[in-house]
Amino acid sequence: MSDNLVNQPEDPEVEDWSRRQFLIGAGGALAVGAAALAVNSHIGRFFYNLSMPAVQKGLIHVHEADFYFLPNKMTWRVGDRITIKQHNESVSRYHEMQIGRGFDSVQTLLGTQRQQFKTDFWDGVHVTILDAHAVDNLVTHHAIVKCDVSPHPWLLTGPGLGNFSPTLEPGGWVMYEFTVPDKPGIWHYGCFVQGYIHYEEGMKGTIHILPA
Amino acid sequence: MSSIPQTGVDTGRPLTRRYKRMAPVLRGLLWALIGYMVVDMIVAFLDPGPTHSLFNLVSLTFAWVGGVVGWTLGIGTWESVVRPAFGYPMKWKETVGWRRYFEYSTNHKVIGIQYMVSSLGGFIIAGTAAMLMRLQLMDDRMWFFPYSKYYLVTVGIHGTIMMFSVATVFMVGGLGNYLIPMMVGSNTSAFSRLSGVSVWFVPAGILTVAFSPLLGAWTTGWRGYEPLASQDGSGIIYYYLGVFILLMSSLIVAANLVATIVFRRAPGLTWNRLPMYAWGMLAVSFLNLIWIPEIMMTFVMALLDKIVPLPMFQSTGSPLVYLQMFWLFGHPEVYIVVVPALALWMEIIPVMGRKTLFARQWGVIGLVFVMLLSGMVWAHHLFPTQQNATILPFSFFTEMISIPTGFAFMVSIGTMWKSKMRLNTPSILIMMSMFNFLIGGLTGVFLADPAVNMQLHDTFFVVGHFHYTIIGGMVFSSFAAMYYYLPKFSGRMYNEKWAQLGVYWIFLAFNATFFQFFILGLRGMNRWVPVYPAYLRAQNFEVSIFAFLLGFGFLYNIIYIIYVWRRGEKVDENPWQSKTLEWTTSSPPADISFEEIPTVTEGFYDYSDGVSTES
Repeated sequence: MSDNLVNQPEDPEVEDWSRRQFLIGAGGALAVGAAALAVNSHIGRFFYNLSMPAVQKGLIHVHEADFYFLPNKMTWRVGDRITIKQHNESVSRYHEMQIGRGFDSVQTLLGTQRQQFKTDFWDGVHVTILDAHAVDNLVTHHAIVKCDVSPHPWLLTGPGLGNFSPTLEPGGWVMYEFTVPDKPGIWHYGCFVQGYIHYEEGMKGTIHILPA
Repeated sequence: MSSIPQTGVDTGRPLTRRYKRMAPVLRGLLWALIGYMVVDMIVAFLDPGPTHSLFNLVSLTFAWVGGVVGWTLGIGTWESVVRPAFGYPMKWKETVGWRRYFEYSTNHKVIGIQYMVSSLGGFIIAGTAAMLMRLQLMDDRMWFFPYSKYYLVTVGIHGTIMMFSVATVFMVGGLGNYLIPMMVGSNTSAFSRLSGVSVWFVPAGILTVAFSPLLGAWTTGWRGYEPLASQDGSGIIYYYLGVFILLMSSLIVAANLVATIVFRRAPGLTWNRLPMYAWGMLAVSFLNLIWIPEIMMTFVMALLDKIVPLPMFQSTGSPLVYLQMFWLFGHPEVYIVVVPALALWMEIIPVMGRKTLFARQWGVIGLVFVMLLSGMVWAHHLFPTQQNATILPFSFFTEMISIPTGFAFMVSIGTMWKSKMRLNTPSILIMMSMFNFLIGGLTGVFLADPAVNMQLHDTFFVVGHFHYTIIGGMVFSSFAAMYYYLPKFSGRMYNEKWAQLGVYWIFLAFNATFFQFFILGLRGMNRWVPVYPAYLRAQNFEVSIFAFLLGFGFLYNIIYIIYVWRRGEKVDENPWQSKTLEWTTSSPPADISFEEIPTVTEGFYDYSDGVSTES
């Protein structure tokens, strides 16, 4: 620097603070920050998917954020035993997770509004709820649900409430276990909260179910 | 740090080197992290809500305060400000060498450069965001960003960081802190310790805004519009907080500059002799002092709307009130950006023209009246929401404000008239800035016409208009100031050929990009959309190419200026033969600028004595 001034440190072997530590530390912090920002970009997704095993079974963590799922791609095999732990990482929004195909839509003044999936993946599937925290509601629809958690005022078993969907409060989680039913093919998952905004802004993913 | 093993090439240094302490920036980051987590956990624990979630809107708001406190203490204020305030002995002493720019300092020249470096960091982050936007707009469908919200939050980050950490900071916090005490013949600024703290708010604010999408994308642009903000991801709370701390920094700068100019002037430096840039800083600081508290309170209210929550700006309150309150500050903000540029024209032109400043009083009157009128025009941003009865007065005042702005042109052109201008990099940049700002200003008068405004509202015409005023006016002037003051900052001189290459490069790329924004706007290109009708694709594609060229042009100039600063040719102390006080010191100035406080006996802009233009 041109304006290095007269005073040198008294002991030439003792420096004030390390330049290398400063550059590596600050550069590293910026790199970590930039990577965090890119998690949900095309690039971030690419690297995330690289780390996924080809076929998943056992415990799978599904993180819900504003407005995306991590992971947003899964591969299951018919007959495998799977436990999903669904976490709502948002600080202010409720999030659900439906799995299905096609859309139930209604016509509104602003155009077609998609409400939920037309075919519910969970129809007739045996599901055991193992753990729950800050669940707003869990609609069982046609799934056959056994709940190990009690009390469970949030468990809604009545008809006409829509597809199977655990809806979590910010910071909540729910863990449920099931055997992948014989429904191979491509299935979609998504969150339809806030009038479809979440789905449209990217809160969706696909599950590829392989035959046994 | 006790010791760090030395590896690699033998440099003749001992194998282990000892360091007295951790790098302050890293300690600041560490303490910020600790402050953030500790406060977050305390608030989350006290949270009466049923979920006791570790991260919720309330805990994240308080955690942010903890983080900023940790950062500010870690950067050096713990030893230098807090402990002495409680009666402990002062162990801190000012660092020397390049390290002083990366920790707390009370020297106004160091603080000025710290402001400029932070501002440059903001310029690069926000400039990168602009490049990503242009990348998306190269095609008429979603291809680069996966979802529209990510495009919109990128627009928001670009605008927010550019406005609050570059446009309002570089020429005021940066050049102002460095130059104003020297221009008025003082060795320190009025509140040097406060100023040493406030400069570190800028990186805190930039990082807060830049990382806000981690909490969820917000789509409101740099304005945080309600009720749009209430539908967005929660990142909007870090927009409010980040801008709040950036504005706090600018508020402290304003108080410091006003006090320095009012109370620290050298003997004989009367108001009539005050340099033009100091007049500009005074006008802009008054604008800051009046309007920044207003917008800070608006952001606090909007934040409370989200985290309490309150209904002030929601459907039961009045979203339109937010719009009014934002632009009540928002338009003076535009003049906070441009007034320093106008003042700089009048500072550099008499020096380069070797001619006495023409109609100096009118120049000062212009700056002051721009300042006064700028508070009376805000609703022209909102014409589509207004009735005729309220549109007309705002339209009138908006067109009126072009008159005092015109005084700056009159003084500059009057000074250039029949002068022997030295056509070097700073004066070329000043003339480019005048050219660009003229286009920006004239399109502004055009937009102030209600009938035109209703058609062009929210189109690229408006985007072209304000980029001509802000980049064209402020950024070009900032580069002029950097080339003009490089010999002062570094004692080194740039090479005219390499500098002019950079300058013509950005001028051509800038006009090729933003002039086409007017045409795009007239052809129907809307703002705030990542996708658009296919017939606009070809022009958008080609505008993006020019925008990338502009980005690289800015990068070239920045890298060249840094290179000259460190390696350029040594030069005389006053290569421009300027008469203002900052040039009477050595270049670069010593820690104490003036061994003896100068006495001023006449104005600084009298070049009628025919001092040689050759050096």
